[in-house]
Amino acid sequence: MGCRDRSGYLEIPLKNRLRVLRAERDWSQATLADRLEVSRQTVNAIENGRYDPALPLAFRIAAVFDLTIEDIFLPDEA
Amino acid sequence: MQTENDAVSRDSFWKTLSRSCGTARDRRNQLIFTGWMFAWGISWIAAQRWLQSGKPDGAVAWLITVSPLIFAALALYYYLRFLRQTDEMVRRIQVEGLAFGFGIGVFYMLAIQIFQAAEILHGDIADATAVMFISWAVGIVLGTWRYR
Repeated sequence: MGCRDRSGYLEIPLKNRLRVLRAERDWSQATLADRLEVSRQTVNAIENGRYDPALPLAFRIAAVFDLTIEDIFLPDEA
Repeated sequence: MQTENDAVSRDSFWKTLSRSCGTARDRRNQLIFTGWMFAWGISWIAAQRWLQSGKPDGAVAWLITVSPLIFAALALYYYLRFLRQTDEMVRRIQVEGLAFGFGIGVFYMLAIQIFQAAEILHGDIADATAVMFISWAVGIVLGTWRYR
């Protein structure tokens, strides 16, 4: 499932449903960022797949949407 | 009509940079840190000039010498507090910026010694501080660009 990036680290590509879940609730990135107590830039980077959150933030995201982490973050098998 | 929810494209570089200060708490912490950095810089320059011009001695000389260090310690304390309180991605960008600045600074120090030994270039190793500061800032800009 994983692949090695240019530095040789095993990387498991992830995709997430953050943008869809946010849109369903009609929340802006700023609203979600406030709820998560992170910067809007962080929310934007996660949505764009530029940054994968660490477990504590992933749990916080799951709690905000009242879902499990697996419901939001999925391995990108494409 | 496009709402913020519809904004699916990545932010522009300048938009990201302007918003890279993070949350309100981050902005407050950065402002406090910048204030102490500014005080450090001013007191350092003032102390240098005063010590070079008047050569004060005794308690006054000690006070002049130590005051920039107090401001430096406060700046360091408030920077560490900012790092601890900011979110994980901003912290990663900052740490990558610090690693970049440290690496370039060490590279500069080692390189300038070799160049001086070879009498190719006559730089000042004291400039490494400025090189570190500038490359730290460049590292943060690059990190902001990478995670935009």
